[in-house]
Amino acid sequence: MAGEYCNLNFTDIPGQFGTQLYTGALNQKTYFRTLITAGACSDTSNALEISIIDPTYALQSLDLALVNQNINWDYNMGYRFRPVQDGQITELGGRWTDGVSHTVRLYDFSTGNVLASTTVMGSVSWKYNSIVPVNVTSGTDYVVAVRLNNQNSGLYSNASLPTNSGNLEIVNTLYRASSDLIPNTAVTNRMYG
Amino acid sequence: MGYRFEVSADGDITALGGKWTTGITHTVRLFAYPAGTQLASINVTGDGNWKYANLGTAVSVTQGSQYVVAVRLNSQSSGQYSNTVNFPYSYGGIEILGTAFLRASNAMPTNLNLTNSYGQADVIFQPCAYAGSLSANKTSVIPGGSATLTVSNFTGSIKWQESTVI
Repeated sequence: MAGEYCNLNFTDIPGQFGTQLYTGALNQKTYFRTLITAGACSDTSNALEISIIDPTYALQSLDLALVNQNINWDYNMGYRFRPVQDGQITELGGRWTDGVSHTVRLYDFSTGNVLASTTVMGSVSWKYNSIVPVNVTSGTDYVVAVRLNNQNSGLYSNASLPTNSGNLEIVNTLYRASSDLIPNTAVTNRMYG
Repeated sequence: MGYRFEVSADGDITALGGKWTTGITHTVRLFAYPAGTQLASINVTGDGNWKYANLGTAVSVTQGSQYVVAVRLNSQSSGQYSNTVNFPYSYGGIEILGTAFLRASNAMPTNLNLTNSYGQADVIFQPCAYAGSLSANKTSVIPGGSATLTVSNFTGSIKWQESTVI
């Protein structure tokens, strides 16, 4: 980051003089700041970075707005997905309340077997851990779920499923109460976790 | 007793004051740190709440420079303190680096404490231009997505700027 700051060249955004800035469409990482002037004085703010989401982060790329968060759930919650081509799952994660650790598991949908798991420290801005890559097959279904365990960390968004994102078809949302087992109750209008 | 602070923008210290026992008058001084030069002083009568007295001539302060403000408590049972404070603390163009204190002296306090606020002396700082702080409704967007940024606690006229990595 420090190295990148050395390579910034700020230019004025025409016509933007208000307390709020709507960035418009962004297609690369962009930094913003304010230049404040008063008479002969001037000051510049910290630079705020807006990054571009890697489309391989399938759920994050849906950019679903949060409806509620910090919910005290005891559920294993996630979604069922189907790769559109052969590949690997290299990271597991998600978003929930900052600072709360939960276990995220990857399941084979047909058997319920756990293929990978990792403990992730929560962030409402999305957080992922690398795992030993798991080979996945086009047309085969898998489930990723986070085990929420009464830590006031759950959240949800409205959704319209199934949908395609990145290299996946997200089939539906799945959840199961008070269990580490593969979630088994499906909905298509919410994304829980 | 007071605090050492650093200013985040050029500006003026326009008043000194603080909070101590009602009806007790004390002298509040502003010092340049680390030189210890006294830049201003004024007597303020406490009233149990925050009380300030305007300086006849404002003191110009410089971005990145450090100063100390202190009230000279002189055995009038007027001192007070707050604890569970975690310095440094930034607000309004000032970063408070810690509580400063020195026993039985009008000189600049040089001892620093990071968890208590003794005194309690204070300044009113008017930055001539202060960029404030930025926040955003999201810090990452999908390709082609957008965000809304907000600037707050600024002083002056705004101009937004942007940059990509060269």
